[in-house]
Amino acid sequence: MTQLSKVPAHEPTTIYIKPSKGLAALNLRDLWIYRELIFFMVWRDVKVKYKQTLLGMAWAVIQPVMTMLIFSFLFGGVAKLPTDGIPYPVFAFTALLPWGLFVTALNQGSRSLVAHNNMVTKIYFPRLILPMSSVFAGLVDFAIAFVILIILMFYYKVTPAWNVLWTLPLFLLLAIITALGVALWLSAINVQYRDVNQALPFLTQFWLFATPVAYSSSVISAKWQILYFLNPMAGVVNGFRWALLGSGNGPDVTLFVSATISILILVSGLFYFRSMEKTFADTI
Amino acid sequence: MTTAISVKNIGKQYKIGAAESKFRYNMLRDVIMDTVYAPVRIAKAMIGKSDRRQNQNYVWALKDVSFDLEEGKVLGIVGRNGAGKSTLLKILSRVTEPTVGTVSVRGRVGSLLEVGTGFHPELTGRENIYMNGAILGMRRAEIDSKFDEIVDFSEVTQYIDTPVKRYSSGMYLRLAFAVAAHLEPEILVVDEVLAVGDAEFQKKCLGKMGDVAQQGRTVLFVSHNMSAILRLTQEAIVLNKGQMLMRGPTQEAVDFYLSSGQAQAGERIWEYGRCPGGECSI
Repeated sequence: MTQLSKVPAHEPTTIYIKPSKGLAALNLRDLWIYRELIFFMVWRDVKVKYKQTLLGMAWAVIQPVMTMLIFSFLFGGVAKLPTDGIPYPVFAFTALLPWGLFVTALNQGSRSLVAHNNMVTKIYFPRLILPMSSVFAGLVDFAIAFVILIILMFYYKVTPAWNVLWTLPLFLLLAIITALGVALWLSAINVQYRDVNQALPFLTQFWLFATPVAYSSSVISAKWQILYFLNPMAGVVNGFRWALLGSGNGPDVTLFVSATISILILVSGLFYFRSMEKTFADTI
Repeated sequence: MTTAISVKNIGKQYKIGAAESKFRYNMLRDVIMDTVYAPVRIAKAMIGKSDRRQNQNYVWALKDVSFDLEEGKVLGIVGRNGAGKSTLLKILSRVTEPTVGTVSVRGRVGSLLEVGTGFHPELTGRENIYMNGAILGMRRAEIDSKFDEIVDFSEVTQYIDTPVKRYSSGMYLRLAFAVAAHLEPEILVVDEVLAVGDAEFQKKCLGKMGDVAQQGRTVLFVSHNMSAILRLTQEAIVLNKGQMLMRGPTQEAVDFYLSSGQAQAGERIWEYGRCPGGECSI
């Protein structure tokens, strides 16, 4: 209150506000201006997630490890599913990493707009930031669980090929594209139709069965393969297994199908989200 | 002088809720049914039997409002509840789009539509200052440099590392207002945020708003507190049922608003010896 703080020296830009028609442009410039908000939202999500818990960040490890143990007992021990010669715990845990990322995006991302409705109705910021930061917050859990995978791989003496250094980041990118695409669609739909909230538990469960997490995609007969890989997560999980464990044949037509679907979901999701964005504050 | 805000014939139409439009909920089922019946409806509309429902479910929250505001001016907006004040501010701060009309805004708009937006109860006061600052559009460096000032202003120095869920509601609001008050956009949009804290703190808030106005920022100020409007603004507009009734010097606008019977509980509180215009007749 003492000194008169000056108005920023740069020439102010003029913004025109008018009813938008048709397809809205993506407006990546605004997203760039608000990049710090993405960082803060991710930071807040991570920070708040384990507040007032006894075990704190350990939950990021406990959840996938427990799932891995249950899967190992049921599918590895009792049902003895084929794993292409890889010890079942490593086989399952490798798939649980991208799957965990995807589930976070599915659950947190889809609810992100509705959960922050006070922000949406009061303040302008690119709404894309909300589902985006939910997905990025999932990456922190991913990184923690990844340490456990490295330990498991040492224990079972599984060595990845040298090309893991560039194949894994590519498949991680594909996982993020898929997760973000689905989060964009569902979060935007959720603003108007809260049916999404009801459908999420079922959708998550169904999607898990449709993805080769507990089993190998090689159990699917050849004539159904292409149809099976219309599920983009199937491509992501197989890619992770191939990059880290060397299982399967590596990138082939099935990966192409999955990756194409992933990109289609993301691009269409971006446009759908942007076209609905202007109504968010009124309908939420 | 350059024009900071130019509003041209804007209007905002809202749908009235389900109560008006019997048994219509926004469910997927209805949308599917609507889609199925769409050809019937279109056919009806084409032969002239237009669906009446179409017009009945909408209301204009704001209609045909136009004004220009020069840089560095402070404009008050008065009107009863539901007059369209908040809708106008929401359009100017790009929270929602107008249904018709255009607005051009020169510079960054900071809005204090409600303080404490984005505050998370589990985070500490310190963490919330950064979070809230970022939400309001401040850069991290900017928050760093103003951090001490914000804490001082909020008077919660002692509890700055305590989760805000442990704060009293007064402390919570003071911290929230403190962050918002240290925003430095070219245009500041303020909606009824001065009803925060005790009398002492309110005085401080008014002082801060006065400072902001003197720094050459353009301010749009909505309040039901007529003495605050009179003290902080030179010019005001009166809104009623979405339409702009008048614009003029604050004194005239407030008189018009209070005398036209729009204000149900017209209240004017002058602090002792500080009545405006020197017309202390009481």
